[in-house]
Order: sequence, then structure tokens, then C-alpha cells
Amino acid sequence: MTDTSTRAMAGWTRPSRVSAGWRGRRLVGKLLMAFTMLVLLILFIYPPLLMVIAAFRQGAIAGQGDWTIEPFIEVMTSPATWVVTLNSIVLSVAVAIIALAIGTFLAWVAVRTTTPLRRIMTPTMATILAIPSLFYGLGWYVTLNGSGAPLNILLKSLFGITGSPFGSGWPTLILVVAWHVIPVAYLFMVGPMSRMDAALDDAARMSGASGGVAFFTVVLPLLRPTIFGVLALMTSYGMTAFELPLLFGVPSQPSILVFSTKVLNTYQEAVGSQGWANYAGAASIGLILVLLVTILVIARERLVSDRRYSTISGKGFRPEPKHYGRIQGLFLAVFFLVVLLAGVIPLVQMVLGAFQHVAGVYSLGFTTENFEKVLSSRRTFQVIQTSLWVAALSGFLAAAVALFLSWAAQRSGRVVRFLATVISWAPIAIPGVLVGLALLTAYMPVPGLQKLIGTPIMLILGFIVVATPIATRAVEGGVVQIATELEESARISGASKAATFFTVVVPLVLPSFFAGWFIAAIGVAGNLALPVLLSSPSMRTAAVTAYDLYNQGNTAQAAALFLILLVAVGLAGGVAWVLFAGVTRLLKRVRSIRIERAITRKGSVVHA
Amino acid sequence: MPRTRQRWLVAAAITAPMLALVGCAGGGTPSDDGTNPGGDSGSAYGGALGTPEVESAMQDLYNQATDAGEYEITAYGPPPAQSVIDAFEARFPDIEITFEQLQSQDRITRLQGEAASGNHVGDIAVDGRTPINQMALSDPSWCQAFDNLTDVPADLIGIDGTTVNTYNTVFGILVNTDLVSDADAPHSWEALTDPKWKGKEVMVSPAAGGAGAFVSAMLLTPDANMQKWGWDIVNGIKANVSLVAKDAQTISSVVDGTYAIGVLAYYPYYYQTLETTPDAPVKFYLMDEGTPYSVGKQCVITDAPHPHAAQLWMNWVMSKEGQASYAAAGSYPSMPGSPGPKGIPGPDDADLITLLSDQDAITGYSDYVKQIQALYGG
Repeated sequence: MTDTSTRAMAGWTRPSRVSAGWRGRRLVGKLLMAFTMLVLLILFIYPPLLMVIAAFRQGAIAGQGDWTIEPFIEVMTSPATWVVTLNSIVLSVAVAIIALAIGTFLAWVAVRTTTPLRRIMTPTMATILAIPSLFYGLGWYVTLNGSGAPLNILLKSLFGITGSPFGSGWPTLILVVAWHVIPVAYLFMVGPMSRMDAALDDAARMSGASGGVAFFTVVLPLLRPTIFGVLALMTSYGMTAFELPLLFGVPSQPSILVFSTKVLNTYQEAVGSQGWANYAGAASIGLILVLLVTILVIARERLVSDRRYSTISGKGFRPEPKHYGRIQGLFLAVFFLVVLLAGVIPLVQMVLGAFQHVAGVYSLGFTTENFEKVLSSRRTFQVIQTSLWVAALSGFLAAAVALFLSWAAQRSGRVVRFLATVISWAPIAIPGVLVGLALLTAYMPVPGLQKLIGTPIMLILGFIVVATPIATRAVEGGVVQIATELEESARISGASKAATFFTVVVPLVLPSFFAGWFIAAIGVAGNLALPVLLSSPSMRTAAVTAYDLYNQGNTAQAAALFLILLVAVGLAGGVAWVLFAGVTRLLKRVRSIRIERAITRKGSVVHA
Repeated sequence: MPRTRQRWLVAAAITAPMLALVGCAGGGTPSDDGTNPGGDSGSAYGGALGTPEVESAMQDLYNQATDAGEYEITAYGPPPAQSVIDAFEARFPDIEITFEQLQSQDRITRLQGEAASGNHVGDIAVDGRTPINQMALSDPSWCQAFDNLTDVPADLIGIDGTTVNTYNTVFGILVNTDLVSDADAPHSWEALTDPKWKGKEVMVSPAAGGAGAFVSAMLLTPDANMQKWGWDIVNGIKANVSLVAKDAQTISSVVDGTYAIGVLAYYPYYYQTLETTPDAPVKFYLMDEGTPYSVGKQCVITDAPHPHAAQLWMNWVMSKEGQASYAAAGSYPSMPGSPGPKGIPGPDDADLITLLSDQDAITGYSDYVKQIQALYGG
């Protein structure tokens, strides 16, 4: 055994008791990750947690007051609670399956086949998505209901059928809602689908599998993380659907009432001697949604955790489309049908409604005064401007948080992975009609957030929280497709974690990132609950203004405002599309230059 | 020219004129010259607002507001018709009022947030009487004392002088005159339950969280209403009606002839329809007895950042001009002697249903509302 003097001569130092992973830059990285997770936990987890607690407290303010179990027992023992819950589950599962099946198929057609007009499929779907659900619903309502409805006029003249046979009921409700969310499913799937390596498909075909077999046994299984994520998201959002079930479920005999209606009705009840709002009762119903989301997330994790889904593997990666012959004509026909049902019909009705004296009533003629009133309002420019920049900024930040959470979940240890999963799903557990209230009451006592109430920053934060679950479902599918070897190659070559992330991960996940950004931005633009509660009148959005007009009976003016907003969104989207093409080209160019420089630099193998 | 640059130029060429077109919408920044719209004399409003004393007091209040830099008012609650807002801003051009559709618990939570952050925004609370009374009765109260410059009668001011009954809105029967003659049109609750109208009546669904449940509950309480009408009427109407999701659809589906009779039709919506389409084949009837109505109340919020402007709005609403503006938009003014909306009897001539007192109304309708929602599947 060597003595101390010998060790000193040899320059030996006693090894640190702290392991390498917890020293120096790694420790800084870990602390930074911990701090980031803590902030995200406060923003994302605390509101639904407080909502759970609020189910057992009754007072003047939501989440405060005396502890009591009575509201919980009352709503849980009410048969109506379970009837509406079952209705919502049936609706959301049926809609999710239909929308995902058709959306996935169309995404495959757009990026994996040479079907004519495939290049316009994504911008078309994005445009359809921009139609607000309120006007999508009203468009179909006037198409299917009333003696002046085009479909009913057709049925009467051709078959002598009177009334509105397709105006409401389960089939109508499911189909109308499903058509509305097909573009969502498409945009979620198109990113990961575009990053599928053609070699995987080729290998199946060379082994004797037909195109269809290869699609179902190779392509779909590799998209499992995205598919199950989107399925879970759509199912949970179906529980919070409000306007469409109102329009097509309520007139049905018997009425089809849904979860969100029950939550709203319960919340509006007066309780206690002072007539407080029944937030405890509404939050108790919200516990059902918490349970459902928990089950969905656990099921998803169990189904996708057992294997790898990387399809972007480096050299030789070929995401090229293939020609499938004359059947591509059928593919195109399906696309046109979806565009007609999801976009053209409601959009035409919305356009007509904007020019009618009373929206949906053809017998009173047409007018331009709705546009005159909207364009002469001093607020129009401000609400459209606010809507565009709030949606763009919030959507971008939500997509950025989603990218961080997805990447952290894939590349970090179990604790971070668990926290990232919980954070990305937690806000969905709050019923939509309560989300503004839940966020405000949660943030009120938090010192740093308290002072931001009423400011634009609080509104942006609220939108990030609400939009991140949506964006994560779009982005995570792209992240799981990236093989770890690609990042490891960069790290081995000397790149830092940050450099690897921005030069390897980000370029590869860009299609999914932009899809997540766009879908999140559309969701923000149409959000009604947050703007009035979290911010100030100067931050009024077009969606809130139009909804106010609609509630005041000025549906035609609301339609006019939304048309103007749609034009603005289309233009902004066009600019964004051009920017996207430019950024992609720029990144490719930068990468080429860096590779060129690395190759020709003095000291490189080639240079020598 | 590179294609990338071409795309930029095309995008800019399309975007710029569109943004300019939208930017031409409105304008209307507060005037800077500080001119007194009332002119030099104390009664330069020409009697539009009331007596010379009232107008002088309101002019002083307007000057105080502008001197204090109070150029805007934020009201939390459902907005009145745009014509009412336009009339106020035409009278006081330096002050702009904006409405945020916050109601009940949402409004109180928002005010809590403002109190916690110190960023006070809300100046006025507008709603039905129950939520405004709840605000005023809170401890501490969310409403401050009303500065009564317009001689508002004491019975219209409540809760320690903080709340004001500003206007009422009625519900009635809307009839498509192409399908139902004046002689056949139902004018009473009992007539609505006649089986001959089965399938021909439409109503907003009480289960959908709208006014349907609350208004139907008025037939069940107080006891006098229960004895006169009660569950027989509620069940009888249910047997006859088809349901829609929104109040506005009640109006539109009668206008387009899908249904002959609209039950619990909201008068302001009907009024707006007539404003845009005077030839619409519809007519509005109040009930021969027991016309249901909603009591509108307002209060100036404690810690309002624009208190003078807020008091000015409240006083203008109760002035001759303000009450006439509400009547012109389809609401019943609350000030005695004010003319009612065009086409229906004034408030002194209409047989309005008996309502619970302010205090009892806070919780008195709740159980009945729940029962009616359950009746319709809610």
C-alpha cells in the first residue's frame, strides 16, 4: 500500500465523495432542470390539484370556505350526473375513433403517396381548422334544421319528407362533431407520418406484404405513441365539448345532455344562505374527468412504453412518397368529401349568415349592414390584432414547452419522465367551463403570479397552460421518432447538449413542432374562458367579442366578425407558411455550410 | 428575382392593404381639447337628462371625471344594446365604456384577483338583481354607495344605498302571423298548454343552462304563483314544446316559420329582429296575466379606478335619456313615468308576475330551477 508522500509525489488526489453526475456542469444542468420542473408544476399541476380540493370546500370563493363532503355526495348520487357522463364518453370515443381513422388515412395520403393535389391537403386542413366551432356548429344547424334548411327543402321536394329528420340526435351529433375534428387528427398525424422511413415500408413489401398489410402492420404500429396520445386527448376533450352537443343534442327527443352542460348548470346553482355559486358541486363532477384522464394516460403509457418507435435513423433515411396507381383517385375523393363536410358547407353557411338580417333565415333577404357595423366599431381592429398576436405567441410558447417536455420525457430518468407526463396531461383534467376560474383561484395566492393578474403576461401564461397538452400530443410523436444514436453521434463529436438539441433534434422535429404550434394557436384564438377572467379589457379577443354578439342575438354580426378574422388568419397563415419554408431552407443551408467548413478546415482529414 | 423574395413581396402586397382596410374600422380616441359637450350653461343638455339641477350636477361630475383623467369605464356583466352604449358616448364623448361578460361567481373571483394583485380594472357591475345583491351583501361589500344625482326613488336603490334597479326585461309569446291569426294566438299560460299547439311551440331548453329554467321557476314561487299556475302549467308546456339550445334560436325559428309560437321569447331579441327586418311576419304578446321579467341591477364597484366616470354612467342610465335609450332597445325602464318599448304596454300597464323579494330571491328560486332542469333531463 502506498504511503501519503508517495501519493503526493504522484499527484494523486482523494476522489470526491460526490459522484460525477452531481458535480460541475452536470450539477448546474440538474439544478436548472429541477427549477424548470418546479415552475411547470406550479403552473400546470397546482390548478387541477386545487380544483380537486375545492370539491370538498364550500364558500364565497372557489376553493375556500368550510370543509364538507355534501356537494360531492349530492352530485355523485345524482343519476343525471352519470347519464351525462356516459353520453359524453360515448360521444367522445365515437368521435375520436372516426376522426383519427380518417385523419390518419388522409395524413398518409398527403405525405406517403403521389396523389394529385396532396400538397394542398395540409394548408386546406389548417384553413378548415381555423373555422370556429361555434360557427361550424351554426353552419350545420341551419343546413339541417328548419323549414328553410337546404337539406330539408331537398328532402321535401324529392321524397315529400317534412320537418328536420336529421336536425338532431345521436347520429347527427356524432358525425357533425367527428367531421369537425378530422382536421385536428390530420394535423397531429402528418408530422410523424412525414418522418417515416420509406425503407421500413419497402422491407415489408419486399417480404411479400401488400400495401394495405404494410400500412396496418408497419406504419400504424410505429405511430402508436401519437395515435394513442391523440386518442386520449380527443376522448378527454370530448368530455368538455359544449356548443356542438348543445346545438345537436338538446333539440333531440329525449335531449342528449353532456358532461360540460352538467358542470355549468351545477356551477350556476345558488348554495348556502348567501347564494354562493356551487363550485364545490361543479368541481366534484370535475373529479370524474380527473379519473378518466388518469385512466387514459396510464393506459397510453402501458401500451407504448414497451418498445422503441424511432424511424429517423440517420444516413439512408428516406421519407419519400410512393405511387399507388389509380386507387389514388379514390384517395382524392375521400379528401374532397372531408373538405366538403368539414369546411365548405359550414363556411358557406357562415358567409351567407354574415350577409343575412337574421342568421340562418333566408326569407328575410340579404344585407351588408353586419359588415358595416363590425367594420365601423373601433374595437374591431384591436380585437383582431390581439387575437393574432396572442394566438401566435401563446401557441409558439406552448409548442416550445411541449417540445421541452417531450424531449425531457424521452431522454431523462424516470422521475423527470413521470413529471413531464403528468405536467403535459394535468390541465386537461379541468372541465373547460371551469378552466379560467381554476387558474385564477390557483394563481391568486402565489406571490410572483399574484401581481400579474390583469396583465397580458397572465393571459399568455394561462393560454400556455391550456394549450400545452394539445401541442404536446403533436410534438411528442415527432420526438419519439428520432433515434438516440443521432444525438449521441453529435455528443461524441463534441457538441454540447444544447447544441445537439438545436442542431439535431429541432430540425428533425420541425414539422411536428409547426403542427403543434398551429393547432395550439387555433385553440387559443377560439378560447372563451381565459381572456375575460385572466386579463384586462384591452386584451379582448375576437372569439370573446363574437361570442358576446352571439349571446346578445347578433349572430349575423358575429359571423361577419369571424369572417374578417378568418381572412386575417389566412393571411397570417400564408405568411407563416412562407416563413416556415424559408426557415427550413435556411437551416439546411446553414447545416451544409457547417459541414463544408468542417470538411475543408485545416486539420481535417480531407484537408490533410 | 429569387423565389423566396418573390413570396415575401407577394405576402406583403396582400397583407398590407387588408390590414389597412381593417385598420380603417372605427377609431374614436378620446378628444384632446377637453371641450365641455354641455357648453357653457348648466342646462346645455337641453333637458335631455332631466331637470336643470340634475344636468348641472351631471356636468360637474363629467368635468371631475375628465379632470381626473378618467376616460374609460369597464363594466362587468352582460352589455346592453349597442345603441345604448352609443347614446352614452355621444352624450359624453370623452368617456368610453367597455363591457366584459363576467357574471356571478366569475365576477367576484375576478374582483378578488384584482384586489390581490392591486390591478383594479372593474368600475361597474351589471347583472340580474340576485348576483348584484350578493355582491353588495358580501363582507366586505363589493359595491360602493351610489351618488344619486338623478333623483332615483328610494325603492329602486337597495342594500345600503349601493345597488340600483336600472331596467327590466320581459319574456313573452312570439307568434308567426303567417301561421297563427291574431284571434287564435295564445295570450296566457293556460292557453300555451292547449294540446292543439303540440309540436307547434318552441322554447329554449331549461336543461341547457339558459333563462328557461329560471323563468319557469317563477311560476312555482312564491305561493301565490304556485297556486295560480304551478306544475300543471310547467308540465303542460313541456308536453307541447320543441326545444332549442339558445334564446336567439327561439326567435329565428319562429321568424322562419319552423314553429308557429315561441314560448318565453326574450323581448330585446325580438326587438332587434324588428329593427333589422320590419317586415318579419311575427308579433310579440305579453301574458294577459303574469308576464315574467328579469330585474336588471347595477352598482359601482368598490375601489373602482374610475369612480367619477362610473357614477356618471349610473346616473346617465337613470336619467331621462338613459331610460329612453334602454326602452328604445327593448327593455323596460325602471324609473316611474318612463315610456316602455315600442309595441307593448308600458311597465305601469303590463301585468307583471309577482317575484320574490330581493332577499328571498338570493336562494328562493334555486331548488325550483334544479327541479325544472331535472324535468327536462338536466
